[in-house]
Amino acid sequence: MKKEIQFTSSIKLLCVLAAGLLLLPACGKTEEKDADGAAAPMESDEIGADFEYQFVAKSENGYYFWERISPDHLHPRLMFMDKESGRVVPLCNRPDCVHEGKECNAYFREHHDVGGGIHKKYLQYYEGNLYAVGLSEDAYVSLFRIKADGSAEWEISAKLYRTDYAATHRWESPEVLIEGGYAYFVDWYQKIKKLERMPIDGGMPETVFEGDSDASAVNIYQIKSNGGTLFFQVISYPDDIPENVVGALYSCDSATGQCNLVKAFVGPYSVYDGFVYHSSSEGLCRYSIQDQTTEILVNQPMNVPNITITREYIILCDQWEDGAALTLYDYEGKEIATVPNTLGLAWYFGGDSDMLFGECWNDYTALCFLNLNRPVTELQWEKLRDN
Amino acid sequence: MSKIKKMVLGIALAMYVFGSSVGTCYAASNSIEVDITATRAYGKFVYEEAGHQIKVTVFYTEKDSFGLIRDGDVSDTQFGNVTTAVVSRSNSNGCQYLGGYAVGYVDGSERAVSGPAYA
Repeated sequence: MKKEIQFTSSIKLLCVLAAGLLLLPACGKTEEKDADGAAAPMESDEIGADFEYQFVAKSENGYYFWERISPDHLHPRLMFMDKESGRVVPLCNRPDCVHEGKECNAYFREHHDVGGGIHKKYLQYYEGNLYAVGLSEDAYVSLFRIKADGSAEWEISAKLYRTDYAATHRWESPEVLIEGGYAYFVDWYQKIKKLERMPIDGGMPETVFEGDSDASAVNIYQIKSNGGTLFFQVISYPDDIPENVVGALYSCDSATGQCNLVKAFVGPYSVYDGFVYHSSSEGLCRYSIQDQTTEILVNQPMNVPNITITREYIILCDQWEDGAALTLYDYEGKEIATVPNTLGLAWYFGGDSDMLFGECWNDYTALCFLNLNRPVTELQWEKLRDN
Repeated sequence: MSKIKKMVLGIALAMYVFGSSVGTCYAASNSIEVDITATRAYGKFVYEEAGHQIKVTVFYTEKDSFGLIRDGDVSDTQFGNVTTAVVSRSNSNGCQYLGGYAVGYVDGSERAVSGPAYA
């Protein structure tokens, strides 16, 4: 009799727990913390950031990113860096989890796994959710929506285009950017590439820009957004002669999908508040989109791979050159500081006015960051690891 | 000793033995290497046991003729009675490799990762 009562009580407790678990997502809870304090910001906001690649996702409270593979972590996890404390934790809200291996909520199936999964590079935060790119089970390049609360809930939100992965076991992750409720993407399978967009919840793709069909090849890349406008570069190869290559920067109004030529140039650039910043043989240039005039800020020839615009600085990064990897200028073009590449920075991602990010290669690859809130004399690259 | 205690000890012993054998299997010796030059990315993964799906992927960064840096990966997968997967890719269109690293997979699961190599 006693055992029956205990059994019945256990069932009741289980039911209460199960009901609680079911109701939890519907509570509209804005923040959920695990033992390690992984916060879950759920409100959208217009966030100023200037990332070269969408490999770090900025939210209101911090930054999300995919861990890099290493012998210590053969199963890369989804990580969160709290903006205030600087603490880095796996995005897992299970209090009993040791945050290792494939059982952890911070681990997500990968694109090469049976059933498809995520390619752990691209990551963007949009209206309370994280978005990643991967392959669906039926070999479509897909946008995956991940709940940013550490619950490991994920789903395919949009199937962008089909691949021949089933036959070839090869695919290339496209450049994707979410802006104004659309996922903008370039299908790498096309020789004459076009910029397409699809609502992030799925639907029919819409072509917003198409390369010149007379060219032998057209590439579209470096997709960025600023103030609701999308920017991208188009490089056309009329023939096999390198000197004949032409390139230009275009903009696209995310409300209408209308694209326009901004400037005929190709190379690293950044856009902020109606100005395009780019380097040239003349120096660091600032081009006014409205006035169509160019001002040379730093009168010295340069060809840097990356330009980041922050509240205080124009930041140029050339991680593959010897010496200083990072140079900070003010908006008058005056050099403020240089930061040496002490951590083996091999790939610079850009950032915002508070943090810069990149991939550092020491013994193994790892993400690293630079805190711009430090005094300029103390700026340095630091390893981004869970603590 | 109560039956329950014996049962718990038995389960613990079984888990230890099972776990040890799995660990030995998991630790089957393997080697991975990567070599990156400006024009070629190469990776090789050797796994001791045959009869598995063996894959090596080289993740690389490259710089194009316009100075833009981007990433990519190239893989080779082997099935059946082989222990080695090798991949090699030449660069084209004015791009040059900057560096990269290799990851070895056995039956779809990551088993080895190399340190980075620079061109």
